[in-house]
Amino acid sequence: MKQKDIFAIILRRNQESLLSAIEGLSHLEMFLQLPGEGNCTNWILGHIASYRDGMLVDSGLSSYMQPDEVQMYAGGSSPIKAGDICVDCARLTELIDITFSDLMYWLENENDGLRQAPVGNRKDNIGYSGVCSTLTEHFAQNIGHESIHVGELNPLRELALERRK
Amino acid sequence: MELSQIFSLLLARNQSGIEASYDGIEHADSLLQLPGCSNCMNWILGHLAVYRDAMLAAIGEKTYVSSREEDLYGYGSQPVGQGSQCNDLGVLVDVLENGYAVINDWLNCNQSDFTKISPTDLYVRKGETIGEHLAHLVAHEAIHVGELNALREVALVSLGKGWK
Repeated sequence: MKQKDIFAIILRRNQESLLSAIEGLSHLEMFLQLPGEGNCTNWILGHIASYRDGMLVDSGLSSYMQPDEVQMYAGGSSPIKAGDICVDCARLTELIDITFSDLMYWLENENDGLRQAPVGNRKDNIGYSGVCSTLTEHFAQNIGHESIHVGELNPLRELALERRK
Repeated sequence: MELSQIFSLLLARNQSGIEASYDGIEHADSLLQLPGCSNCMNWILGHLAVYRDAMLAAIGEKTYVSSREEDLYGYGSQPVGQGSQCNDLGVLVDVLENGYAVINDWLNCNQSDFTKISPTDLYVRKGETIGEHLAHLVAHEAIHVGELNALREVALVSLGKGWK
């Protein structure tokens, strides 16, 4: 087993769980809020996509997100509610798919690339990890972070399904 | 960064998320329900304890969860709510903390063999090797940790805290 195998297993599980959580949800259902200060599905998807985009940049691959899109979903950014300016849910879903595909392809074909230092230098890319000395550490931190946000989608899906009754 | 360090980092993130979720929460709060068919905090923590045990068993360490608790909190078990049979929150917390400490020690002992075939009689067995098994279970755990966040929020609202 190599480092990349751990990341591939977890990323695949994250992606499967994420897609299950948003399957069939409408654009409006992605703005529903649970009691308290949790974020809506739109924010969580954008947040995950931003961090994946950062992993792509740090691995020397192309970014898909614009700086203003990334900033909207940064850690500590304002909550997003229906009617707020935000990235369309369809685009977020597309970003989730394409970043997953690129990261999986990179992991399958990397030749000790994980031992290299992150190469991204976009200060406005929140997934850029200047504090990590290797991509391995950056991937470990980001993929672990992603899994927890994926879990947050499940109660939001339940809320959406309940509201349909 | 070695495999053991990756697992250690991921587990530490999960444990930190678990501990943050129940900080200041009483047993009764752990039974609060969200809208829809989500599980309560008590069920999720018990479920995590069952799966932590499956990590412990895979690496040959002592386990903490009984078969009764596996029935209560295993995959597909009945939801836990007010009046249901369940473990006290404090018991679940202890099991999770103890399991975490043992797994973390094992990961840090520099003798971890992730290519070893995992035992076939585990409560849940993912992949052929201990490394695959741990990767799947750490990811499974993290997703449930994410579910705890909304439950903590609802508990804080119930306690009159955290609501804006």
